Amino acid sequence: MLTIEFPKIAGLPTAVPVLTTPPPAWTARAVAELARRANVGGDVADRGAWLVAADDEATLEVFQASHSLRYMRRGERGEPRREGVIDEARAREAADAWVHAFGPDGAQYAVHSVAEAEVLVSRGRDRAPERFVTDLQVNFRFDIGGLPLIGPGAKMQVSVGHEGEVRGAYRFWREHRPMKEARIAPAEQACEHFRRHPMFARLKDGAAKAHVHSLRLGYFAEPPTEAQHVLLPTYEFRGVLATELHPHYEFVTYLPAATPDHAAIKETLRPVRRPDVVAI
Amino acid sequence: MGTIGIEWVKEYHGLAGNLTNTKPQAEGFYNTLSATKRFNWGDDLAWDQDFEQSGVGSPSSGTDTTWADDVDFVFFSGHGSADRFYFGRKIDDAVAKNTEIRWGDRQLEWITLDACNVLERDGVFDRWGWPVFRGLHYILGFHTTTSDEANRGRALAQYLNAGWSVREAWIKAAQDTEDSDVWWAYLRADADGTDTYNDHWWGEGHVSPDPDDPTILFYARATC
Repeated sequence: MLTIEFPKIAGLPTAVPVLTTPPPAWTARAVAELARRANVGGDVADRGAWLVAADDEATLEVFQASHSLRYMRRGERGEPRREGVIDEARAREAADAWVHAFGPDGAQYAVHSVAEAEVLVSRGRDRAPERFVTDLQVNFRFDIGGLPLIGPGAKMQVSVGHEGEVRGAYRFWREHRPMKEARIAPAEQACEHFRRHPMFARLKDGAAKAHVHSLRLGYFAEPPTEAQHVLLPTYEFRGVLATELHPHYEFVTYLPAATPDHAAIKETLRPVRRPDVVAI
Repeated sequence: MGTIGIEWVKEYHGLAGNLTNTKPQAEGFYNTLSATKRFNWGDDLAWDQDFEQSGVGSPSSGTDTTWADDVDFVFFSGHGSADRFYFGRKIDDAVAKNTEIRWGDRQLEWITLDACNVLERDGVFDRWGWPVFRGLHYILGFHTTTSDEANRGRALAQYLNAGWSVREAWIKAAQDTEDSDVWWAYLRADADGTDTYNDHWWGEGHVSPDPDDPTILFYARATC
């Protein structure tokens, strides 16, 4: 078995609540109201995984499987090519206003990063490419009860253009409610499981080298298009694997940190029965 | 209806770490996009030479005109790095290198390289741009590492089927399936009389004529 180096990890909880995620109950009327607030016209159309409102200027997509939505300006004829930088303070202000208006009520979130979205244009092999910043992207992450939400399905992003306008934004989120607490597998046990991950099968010391540089506990959120009934405590491993063919592979791997009681979870998600009609 | 092919690698036989989700990721694309299916080669049947130009590079055993360059859209899922992507079986050397590749001179319009770092920004026009684009419209990929996940191929196909442009569909699929530390990227070409910015999947909207002799290349990247 390949030797893997792990970081020291301490202070993890021994038990945390499992969070059930009731499916959303989007209606065309609710989506139309969201679209009106986002200044998007047009009727709401059911496009399978999404409910979509669109006009010539913008679209609003609502994900039917989660409490997620995405706004996008449209109508450009090519990648924006405008000189200059975008003022970060102004971009953060616009982003804060958007998440205040469209972020989930009562959720804990903070700015995780601010990044320049960019376009490079090349007009020939011998000419240096031109670079244009198209947006400043303000990225937000969530946490619940002190644990981060990890994975692709819990985050917000607001893309702000040169005039401080919101050119695109999304909120990926699932409403949730706590169930009983689940015991968290100790980090040492998780590391032992990780050593047996299929990634390392057939790899041996001398021919490969692996180390984990980051190990943390969080709640894993699936993509916003996917049905998910529970936010399960999960270990996130980040590290580097080196082999002769592929000398630098930066991996991220998720392993469950608790065993869910699926029957209990299903029970909590059952709709409330209407009372029978009683003759009087 | 357009034609598609996929290749994916889970088993690297000790050449690199095995991957878990490349098969469902690529087959999600294959089984969801409204298209004529042409090939699905996985693990030991996925070969680097399927992507390489005959007579180019070393070894010069490419057969892309039979496979990757004989369909409209190809989705590859496996390991990659800035100038190459990797296979699990050494038919020639298990590596498709940028120096062995010319795409679009037969059929290929769009290719997704769902592999780490292939579209790393610095030097991208010299690696994958001017030498590779011979009618190809887009390479869709990542500037950074990307995760071993199962949903992105299906998501991309769903967005294409729903009528989003190729670039919009890729951005949305990447946003849906990665955290915001990962950067999506694409590289596209244009020439006189072409407009690849507004490309859609066949039957879903505008498709540009091929930029056989590109005059301008565009590279875009942003966080997912």
